[in-house]
Amino acid sequence: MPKLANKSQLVNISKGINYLFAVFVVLLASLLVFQTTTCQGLVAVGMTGKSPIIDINKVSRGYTLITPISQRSDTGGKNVVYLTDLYGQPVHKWTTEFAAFYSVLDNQANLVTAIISPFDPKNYPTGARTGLIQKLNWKGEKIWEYKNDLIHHDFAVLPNGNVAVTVWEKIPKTISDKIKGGIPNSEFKGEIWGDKIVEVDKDGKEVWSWSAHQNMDTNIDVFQPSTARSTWTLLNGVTYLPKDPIEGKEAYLISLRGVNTVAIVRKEDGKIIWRSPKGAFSGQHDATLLPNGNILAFNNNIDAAFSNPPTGSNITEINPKTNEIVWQLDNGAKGIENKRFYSYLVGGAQRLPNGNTFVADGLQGHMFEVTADKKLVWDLVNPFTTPETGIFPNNAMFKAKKYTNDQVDWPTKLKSDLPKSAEVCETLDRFI
Amino acid sequence: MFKLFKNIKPSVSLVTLLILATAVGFEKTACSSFDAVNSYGSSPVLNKQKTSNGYVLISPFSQKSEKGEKNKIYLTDSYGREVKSWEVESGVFYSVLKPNGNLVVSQQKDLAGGKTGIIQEQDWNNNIVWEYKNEEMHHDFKVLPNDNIALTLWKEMPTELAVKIKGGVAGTEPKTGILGDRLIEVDNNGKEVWSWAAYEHLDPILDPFPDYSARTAWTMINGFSYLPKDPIEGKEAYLLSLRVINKLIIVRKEDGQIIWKSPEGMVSGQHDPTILPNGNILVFNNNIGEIYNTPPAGSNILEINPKTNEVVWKLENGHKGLENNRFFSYLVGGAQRLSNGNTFVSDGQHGHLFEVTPDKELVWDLENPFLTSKTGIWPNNAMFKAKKYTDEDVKWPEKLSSSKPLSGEICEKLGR
Repeated sequence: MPKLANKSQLVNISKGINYLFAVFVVLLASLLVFQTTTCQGLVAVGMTGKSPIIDINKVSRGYTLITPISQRSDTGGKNVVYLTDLYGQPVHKWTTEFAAFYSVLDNQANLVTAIISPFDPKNYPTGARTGLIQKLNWKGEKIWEYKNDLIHHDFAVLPNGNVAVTVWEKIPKTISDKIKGGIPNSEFKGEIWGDKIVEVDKDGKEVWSWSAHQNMDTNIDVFQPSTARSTWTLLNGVTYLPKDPIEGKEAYLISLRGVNTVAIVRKEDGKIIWRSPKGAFSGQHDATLLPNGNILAFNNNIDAAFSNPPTGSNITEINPKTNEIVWQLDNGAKGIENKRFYSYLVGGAQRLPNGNTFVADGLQGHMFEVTADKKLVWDLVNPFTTPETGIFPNNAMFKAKKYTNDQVDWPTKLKSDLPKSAEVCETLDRFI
Repeated sequence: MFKLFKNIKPSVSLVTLLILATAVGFEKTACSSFDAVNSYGSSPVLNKQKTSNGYVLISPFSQKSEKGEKNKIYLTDSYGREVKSWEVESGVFYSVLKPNGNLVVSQQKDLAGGKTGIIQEQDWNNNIVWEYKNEEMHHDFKVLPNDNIALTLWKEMPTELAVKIKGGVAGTEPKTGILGDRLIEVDNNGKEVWSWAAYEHLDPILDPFPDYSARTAWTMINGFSYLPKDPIEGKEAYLLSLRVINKLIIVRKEDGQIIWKSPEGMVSGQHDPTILPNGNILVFNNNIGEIYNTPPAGSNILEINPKTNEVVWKLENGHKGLENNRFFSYLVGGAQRLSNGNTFVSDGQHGHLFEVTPDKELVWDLENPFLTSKTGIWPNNAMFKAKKYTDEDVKWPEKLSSSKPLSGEICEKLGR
């Protein structure tokens, strides 16, 4: 709002009607300015340049945590992680020590973030290596960290505050020689790397671990054709289950991209007590357990890329007791429509408390939310970019998560997740 | 008004405020909304000086409306705003403009497979002036300098030949037989005046189905160009993209012989090959053969010198897996070298059009704002490919509004 003139000036110009007229004109001009700023400039937009909120009544309330993924980590760059309202406007942000790969909030609103400590990619068999997990409080202060040069992809925060982390380990020759499939002689420097889940306590001490290569089957869990024999299982997602849906015991739900399998591991003895049926998933990410005992995952569906007519990625809800697919979201039934939602890499899916499903098509920096009957109610292109070298500004993410007010004990009163339209009009610097 | 200012002279700050407020108001309306945007919500024009002049012809894929509603094809300015549109009764697959401004459009009944069946020519006022029907028609077509039209047809291959073709997934042959391609030329009377059959010139052993491919259509000519003078021998020829077997070829028109074939592994799933004035070939390389690579690579635009078989220019989105994969299209796509040296790209699957300079600076970037009926979750704005036309390419039947309007003109607000 324009600042009004001071008192002495006001006395000088108190010449009656002319002054009032001037004030009227100023007010009118301000009103015009206010109106034009109200609804034209959104900070962020959906896929077709419109407001992210498509159905204000059906979109789930809550804040989205966006971690733009930068591959400039080897140059030691920093990153910002954003908590945003439903219009994609930041309500809070954290700056990470190195480029961030992925972050979540714990229930105290601390940010737990996997960041990419400087490294030489030549020494690692494949991408998504991070090396460092840190916990930052609301003010951005580091309150915990776990360093391990071999950390990659995902992690999970446990109810007791421990963190489960996915790390690489080299597979002993006695086992790696038995693994079938893949491109002959394409091992990484002569070795095959495998996956391990490590549980770390508040002091950074490793308190439990599980090695995939000791529990997988070298006859069933073979390398896919045309795949390098560098990393066997490619554990790209881990979820802690206080009670698994099969036996009701403590377990981990894991996504093994390399063998196109989602599995449940009994924590007690490391046995795999469930594995997804062959063909249900391929290249999948982000398997989570739903309150109804079903499993939800982002199914990249990379095998089907070559099918004729081709199919895209989908979100799949599977009942692990019957192995039936009970809900599936894809973008239409036909080739070109279907292919519009296709991601070879990354991706996330989250069932929200109101029954909606929140999807992160991370490769395209695209997030959206659908109702149970598959109506698109929210659609956001990640407006936060990182300094990459490609032609297009990079706004990719590993995955993103949405948090409702019930899930997090916010340390301060947050700005509304659904500000009035007048408040969302800080314009983005659009240029001509 | 003058009197008013005189009377309130002591309050200079008030007047300044008034002017400032008006100026701010003007700025906001001038620059905060667009009819169409790029994929980040900003103006499509990123560098007005370096964006080439010209109009973009956008043919969103559409299906025939059961309610009788017409589909549209749009000619747009640099801001993605309609300067002219045509109405079409059936579904739209692809369209081009003739030098006289007439629209030639191929139509589709089905969103899958690339089958077309009808090509129509419409004048500037939507009158249908020419039509050619053929149930076997699919994918691309070209208007030739003599006004004939070249187009591609599917043809069931003779069984004795079909069984000889190596490769592919066994047992996936359709009951009706494997489809092969024919390229034909049709004159103004719809008479076939020249034809060429791919299966008569390709080698069933040297040009096999790739391992992953179904044995349904052998070659799938999904795009081609007419060459008055080919870059190898200087003779009349056709440059063809054979999607299924991952090859580009040049066919001598005189005798149908294949005089050039792209090297093994150079392109895969490619679309829209064109010849450049320098004799090189430009193509949208979907690069589907590399999906299983570690780390994977996305699609790219290649400029190939057919004399040396070297790639002399390549446009991709970065060099690393995640970045690279952001520009990946399994289906469709187009590439066009513009007269100012820029390259115009249609990432048709995602309804995304962009233009880069020779040194790969992104200067223009548009999300196709024209949506069509859909059954998917997202509004459908996909297209086969789009083309850009300058005043030199087309003699416009009426004066068009500028392709690069002043900023003040483009601010009719979008319904946000």
